[in-house]
Amino acid sequence: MQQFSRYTFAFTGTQLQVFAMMRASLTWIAVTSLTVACTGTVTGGESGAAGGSDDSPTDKDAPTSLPQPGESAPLCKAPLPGLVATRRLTHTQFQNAIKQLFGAAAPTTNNFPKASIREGYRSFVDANSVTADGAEQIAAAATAIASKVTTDVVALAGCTPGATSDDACALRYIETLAQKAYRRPAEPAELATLKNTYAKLIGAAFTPAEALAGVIELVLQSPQFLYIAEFGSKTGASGDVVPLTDYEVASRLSFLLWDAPPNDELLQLARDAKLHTAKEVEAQARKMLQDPRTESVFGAFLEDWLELYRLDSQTKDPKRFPEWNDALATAMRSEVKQTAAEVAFRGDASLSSLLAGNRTMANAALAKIYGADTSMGDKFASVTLNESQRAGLLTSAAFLASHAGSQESFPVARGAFVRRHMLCQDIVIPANIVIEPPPVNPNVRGRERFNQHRDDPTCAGCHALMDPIGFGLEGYDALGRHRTSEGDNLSIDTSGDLTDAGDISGPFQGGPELAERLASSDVVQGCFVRQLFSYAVARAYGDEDACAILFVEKKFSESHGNLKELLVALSLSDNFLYRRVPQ
Amino acid sequence: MNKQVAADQRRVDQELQRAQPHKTGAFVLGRRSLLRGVGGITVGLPFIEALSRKAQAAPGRPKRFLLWHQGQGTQFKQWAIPGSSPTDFSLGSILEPVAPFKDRMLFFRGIDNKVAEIASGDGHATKQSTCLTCVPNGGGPSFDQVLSARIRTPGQRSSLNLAVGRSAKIRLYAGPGDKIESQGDPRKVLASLFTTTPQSSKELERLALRRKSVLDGVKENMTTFRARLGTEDKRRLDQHTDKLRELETRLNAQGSVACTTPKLNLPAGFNPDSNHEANADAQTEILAMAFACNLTSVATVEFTDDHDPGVFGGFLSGYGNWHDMVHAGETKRDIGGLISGYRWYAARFAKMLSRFSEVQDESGTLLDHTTIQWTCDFGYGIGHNGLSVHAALAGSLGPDVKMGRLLSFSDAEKAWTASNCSLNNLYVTILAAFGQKDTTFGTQAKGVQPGPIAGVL
Repeated sequence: MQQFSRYTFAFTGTQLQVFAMMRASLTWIAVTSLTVACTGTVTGGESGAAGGSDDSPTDKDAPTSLPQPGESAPLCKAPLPGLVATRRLTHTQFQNAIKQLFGAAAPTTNNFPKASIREGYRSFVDANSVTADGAEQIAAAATAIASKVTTDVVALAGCTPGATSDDACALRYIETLAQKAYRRPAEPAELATLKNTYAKLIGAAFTPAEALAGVIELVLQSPQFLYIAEFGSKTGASGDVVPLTDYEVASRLSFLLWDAPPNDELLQLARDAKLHTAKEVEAQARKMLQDPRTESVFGAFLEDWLELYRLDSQTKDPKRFPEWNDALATAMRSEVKQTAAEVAFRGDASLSSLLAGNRTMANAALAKIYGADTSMGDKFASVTLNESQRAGLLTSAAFLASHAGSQESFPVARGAFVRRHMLCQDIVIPANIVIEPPPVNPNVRGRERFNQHRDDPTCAGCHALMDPIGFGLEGYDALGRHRTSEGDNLSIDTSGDLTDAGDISGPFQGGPELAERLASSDVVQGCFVRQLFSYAVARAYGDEDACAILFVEKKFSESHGNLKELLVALSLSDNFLYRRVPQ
Repeated sequence: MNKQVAADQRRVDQELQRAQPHKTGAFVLGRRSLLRGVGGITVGLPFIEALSRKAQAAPGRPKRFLLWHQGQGTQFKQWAIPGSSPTDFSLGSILEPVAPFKDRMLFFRGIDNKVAEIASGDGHATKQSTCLTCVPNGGGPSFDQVLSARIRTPGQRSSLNLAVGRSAKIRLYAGPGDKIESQGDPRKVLASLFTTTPQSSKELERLALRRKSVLDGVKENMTTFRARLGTEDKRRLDQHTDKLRELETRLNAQGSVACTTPKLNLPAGFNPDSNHEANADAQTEILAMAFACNLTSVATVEFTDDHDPGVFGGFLSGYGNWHDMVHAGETKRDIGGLISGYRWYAARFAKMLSRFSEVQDESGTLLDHTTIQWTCDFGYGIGHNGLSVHAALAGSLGPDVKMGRLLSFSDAEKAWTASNCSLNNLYVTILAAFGQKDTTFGTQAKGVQPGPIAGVL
């Protein structure tokens, strides 16, 4: 009997090889297009949705490529998840895990490698690989934590560990620790490693507290703790699809929705085999959404989605923007997170409100940028924005300031964001050109500075897809302030154009109209699914995820873009309940 | 070119340079193409390289700071001499001793001590009370104290303050008016630092055993875990295991090779107040080991006999003392003696660099992880003023900071030309190299601008 009732068959797919071939050919298209130079290529979807036909009795119609966002396609009949890599805990996940393992006794340590992202998401496997510095940081953190939490070893173990190698109290604590840290019962070999280490240290005349500290250090540096891995409930050949174990589902849920390891309650459910059906998982996911930790996860995703890490390397001309400093940049990030939490968890939870709403959370420094009342001081308060000037995240100071230069707006970056992150179209340009933003000139409008992009045919192909969107946001300066003139008193022209943008193609005027247009689009809705999906599976989405993404996209669409339903659907998608056995 | 315009231009250039790889990277590698497999990676390679310039060896993340100070200024015609660009410059005869480390140093011409202008006292007092504090009349802590409070790790002592010459309270301050004495006798320093700290060999053995037991367990867990992984996941875990092994090698090396109780080769009848060369060597050895053993992360060395160091007797050619000779300056007779004196200081500095480049530290040497500031009360000794002071950095300011440059902010050979760059900015720059976000250090006296020196980091 199949675990998850949505499906009626177990799947063993040779189809996946077809996927791999498709993937290779897509990549090749991208590569060859580069030799043609900067004529512009929008990748994705070139292949069309060719029906994957092989001899699998399970799902003859499963798609071999992912349709474009917003394009409807029938759901898969059998589960077919994309590969999900074994991935290291992120900085936040590590902090939360330590808190969960040791409670108040745990020291607060920032000394754990942070993801290095210049694009993509902080959750990505490749952003969290272990460097030489990283290994040292992990070791240092493990040592510091172990020594701190064993200062009161009786409180830690709940009994008094003795100085014998088979001390019952110590061994019981080690088992409990391993189960919590590994997020599942430890296997005999794994337990033996820990118990032997305890015995070895006791044998070398270390005190029970020192020996337990050694074991904790060991656990915190072990891959069983540091990596989230799924092996499935049974073995299979490469390409086979197997259901996850209940413990793995518990981890999936809690890392997805809380950025934290499963708590005692979830572990108990797993132990009782109560995370076994889609219904049970859904009930649990809905319950978990009530916890404020989900807000943090969603906020972190949005920060990366909006590429706010660009704020870290932003400099602003102090003569034009004397108010620019780290505190303001932090407030900008905060605004996005708080506003998202308001909309998604206390408001109508709709994507369109997030993308085009007219309320935001701001402190006085931000309110000043928005030309709003600043009486809230340093505290954040809900602010109603001028509808003729602002709508949603795209007109937030955070997005506008991060996608700008030190003196002027940067329409190319603003347009590129919309193209890549909201429409899910990749812009690929040749590797051998120098990108040099044209100099700022007070007598020339921003949009005219970029004329070369239009006039030079080698540039025009790509830039016609980006610049005209960014030009529509010329009504905001490099700090994100609304403006009606630029340079030496030149009037602003905010006409923009969404070329080749599916259901929302066509000219528009200014930020609010652009936001409204994007908020109403099925393409944008489908793209948002793909972006959050990528964040959740710790890598860029691809054709291999077609079944999962189509399912989530359909659920999201049926809920009229409800963000909470999106998170629930995500936790019920193939990639979260099943594992595809890798090579 | 107007200086403000030039500074603005530099800042803009710097911004563009900094921003470029970021912007370029964002466009060239679409999210999907980056991760899509062999084709995408091939396309992106030059950019991936550009994005991760950190991979190179040599200067690493600075963990420590050494401030090395002498009195009486220098003579810019024979110091670091500008060429056609910051990397094209030559070293005059004063700096010959540091030539082997030219690529590990940054030289500055035209950094003023502007705070000295608002301090009270004579030509010496106004510089001595401000050059390490940037607060008039020693009204605040010296830089070593500030940085030490920020970067010292648990168990480390605060700033270690040594002197070459007699012990004296001159330029270092714990707080307003609270002078700190630099310790001139290396034997006493050695006794206070090292008698109790190095663990007995038995204790070291115990620690090594514990570390080995833990790491053995981790490696065992790696093997258990690895067995069930797919090919790609295995590759990633192996990368982690490799880094762990490197760390183990490094830690093992640290305990035995690099950190030991320093051995001072002092001559018979050593007198720390007058035997400056042996003293400088001994203090250098103590510094190297205090750093290698992680006893401290910040230290200072002051040459306390500014006026008449006995060792300069041979250069003086008729002048009453070294101070008189400095005052006479290069316009008077026997410039050769002046150069010899300054070069003597450079030779001491070079010996310290040389020792730091020998002592193992993590995967590199002490020099790779230490920011060293070489300062002086004055620029041109003859002026005894705070215009274009002697300023250089050595060692590492971080893996991305290109060393081997000379940066000029005013014409140092016209000692009356004020620049827009002050010592305050140099300290802000060093703070930034240690990840500190300060925009100012000390008093914002007239003409002092906030921020680090453009183009350094």
